[in-house]
Amino acid sequence: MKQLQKVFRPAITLMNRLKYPQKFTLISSIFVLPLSLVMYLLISEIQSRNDFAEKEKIGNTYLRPLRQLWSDVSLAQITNNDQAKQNELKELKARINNQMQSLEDVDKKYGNILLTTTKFSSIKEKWRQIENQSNDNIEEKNQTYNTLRQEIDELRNKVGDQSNLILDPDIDSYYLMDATLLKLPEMQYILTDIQLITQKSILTKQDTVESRIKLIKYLAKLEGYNSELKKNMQNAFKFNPAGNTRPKLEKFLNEYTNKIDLLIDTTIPLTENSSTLSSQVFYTAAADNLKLSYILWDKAIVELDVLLQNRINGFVQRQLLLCAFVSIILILVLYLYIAFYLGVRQTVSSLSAASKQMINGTVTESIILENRDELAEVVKSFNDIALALVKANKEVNLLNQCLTDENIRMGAELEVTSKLQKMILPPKHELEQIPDLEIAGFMLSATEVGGDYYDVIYHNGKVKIGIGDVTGHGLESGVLMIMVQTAVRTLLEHNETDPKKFLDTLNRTIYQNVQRMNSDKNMTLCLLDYENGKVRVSGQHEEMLVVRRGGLVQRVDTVDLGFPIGLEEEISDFIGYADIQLYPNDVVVLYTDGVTEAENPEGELYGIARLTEIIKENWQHSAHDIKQSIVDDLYEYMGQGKLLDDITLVVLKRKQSESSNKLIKDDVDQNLEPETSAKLTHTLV
Amino acid sequence: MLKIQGDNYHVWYEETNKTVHFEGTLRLRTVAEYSPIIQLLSNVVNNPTNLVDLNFKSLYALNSSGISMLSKFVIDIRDKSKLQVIIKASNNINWQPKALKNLQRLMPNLILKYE
Repeated sequence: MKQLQKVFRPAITLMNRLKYPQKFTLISSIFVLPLSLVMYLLISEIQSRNDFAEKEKIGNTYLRPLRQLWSDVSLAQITNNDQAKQNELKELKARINNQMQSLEDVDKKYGNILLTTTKFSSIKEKWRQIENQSNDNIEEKNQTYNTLRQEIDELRNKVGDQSNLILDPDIDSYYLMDATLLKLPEMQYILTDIQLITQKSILTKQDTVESRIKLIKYLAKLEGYNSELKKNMQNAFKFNPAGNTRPKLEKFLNEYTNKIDLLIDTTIPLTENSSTLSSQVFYTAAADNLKLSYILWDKAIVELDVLLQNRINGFVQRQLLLCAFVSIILILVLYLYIAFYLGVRQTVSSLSAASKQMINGTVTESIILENRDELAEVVKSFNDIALALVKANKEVNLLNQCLTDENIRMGAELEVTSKLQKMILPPKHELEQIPDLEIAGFMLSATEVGGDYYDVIYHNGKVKIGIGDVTGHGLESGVLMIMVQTAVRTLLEHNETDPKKFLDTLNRTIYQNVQRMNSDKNMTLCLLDYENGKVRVSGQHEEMLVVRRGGLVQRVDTVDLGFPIGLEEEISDFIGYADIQLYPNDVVVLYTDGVTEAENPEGELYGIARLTEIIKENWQHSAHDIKQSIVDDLYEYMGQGKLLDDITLVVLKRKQSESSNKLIKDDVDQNLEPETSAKLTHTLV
Repeated sequence: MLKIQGDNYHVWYEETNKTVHFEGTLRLRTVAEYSPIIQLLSNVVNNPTNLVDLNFKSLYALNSSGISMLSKFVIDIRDKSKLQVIIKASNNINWQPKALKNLQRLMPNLILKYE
């Protein structure tokens, strides 16, 4: 196969460069060259045979006047010998002159083809000689006549040779030629000689043995020719596909040959002077036979012409047939080539139309073509690709639909939970009812449902503030947050005031539920109890920031005050609390790690230092304004950066009041340090 | 799989000193997304070993899901009495003191080394 590829590589390269019409033209040209050569040879071969037959016809055209001339010259010689017939002779001479003229016309026309002009001129000369000769010497004149007759005979032979008649290729026409060119003229020659001999005997009334022997010789020759003529003509009748020879000639042939037989059968006694009558019989019989031979000749030459014409017609027909056949084949080939080209074009254009459809994404069905060739394979591959693409497209659409559905579902889920979360946040009017504290809350979720939690509950003159961060985001985190909020409120309603018991119960409740939910969530939670300027803080969360008058920030670490809620069943050992005294205008800031771990576009964390700085700068403002300052600074810090985690801020500020003013004087110095149940780390900044 | 490479983080186990290194910032959205890391840690402790070091000195951020993941891991392995877990941490990284202290509370024999 590789070898084959190698052999065909130049041709493949050539073919790949050509367009289809050019390919066809190339192959056709190469194919047409030998075809035209063969056609040319065939046509010219037929044409040469045609020309051969045409030349034979020319020969016949020449032979006709020549036969007339011969018969009249022979008759003239005989008539010339008879003194009693001088009037007839004149008439004959005029006829011969006419025939000479018509023969000259023919010779002018065909002399250069048949090379007869010299011979004919000589005959003309001989005839002029005869006309000018006096009748004094009969013997000499006879001699000249004999020469003339001989020359006419030679001319006839020349015509036969030059016109190809002697080489005639078909049996029937050959034997007709044999009769008209050879046998009949020979016999006519002999018959004339017989006439001349017998005429001499009659005129001289002398019947010599010599002349009788001559006569016998002539008759013997005649017999030979006659039998040959009969035999040959039978062949001409037998092998005659046109079927014209026998009906047209048999009657005349039989009449003639029978007469000749009759003549031959006439006995000639070899004794002198037996009878002069017998000479007369021979003379008359020869004259009659001559007439019959001329009639037969005239008929035969017509049939020979018919045969030659048939043959020529056959050749012309054959040429026409050949041309027509080749033309039809060529037209058919051209027709098929064009059809092939159009078929290819159709396939290619339907493929390109389909590919355009594919590009536009509007393919709905495969291409159907009637081809069963190599292009059909291309179309099949194309269809496979198209169907695969259509299928893939459908799958993608389906997947998109699924994704859209999933998005809608998730969106719905988030919307529901977000609504729940927002519903449960403390409303502004509730916060405003709290007499001793200004409270501002802020929550921003990274996703629609955050894991952050804050709450402020005013109950029996006490304020409970909670802040926490459930791990992760989403529905589960949101649900957990709501559970915690409910549990806090429940414990509050139940008047649980021991921070340890409070958080322990809360943790157990949430832990059990988390186990039931088979969830991996847990949360940090810090709870503040405020009453009359005292804050008790419990639970583990971020640091609590306390801002004292003058902007002193106290950081209260809550690590030792609790443990993540919902992670461990038993956490009571880890729970503690710290008490902090709040004076009027003191501020407490609670936040989730979303604040301190917010990133700027460079990925640097916001950090506790920056948070305390902004609080220190704004401590004297209202809780709401402090909160807003922190939020603004945070936004500024994050810039265009992405919000990575929920952000929750709760700012409380103890209000300035008559009673609180009094408290400042009393308690400010002795209560600066917070009271703690556990070892509490706090830093003054 | 003893090596996990994320967009902002890199976790891998160093066999020679039995240390799992944590580097970068880990803020995967859910605990489920932390499962490859849990798997890595499980593979390490499931090999017959008495010692494992967790090096957090270059882990600058770990979100609450990540802390939760670590807590669960510690709860799972704390009953393996023979296993000694050493955590190497940095005081300068915000998330570490509180979260690592909680781990130590969950598994009292865990050694916490601030370096």
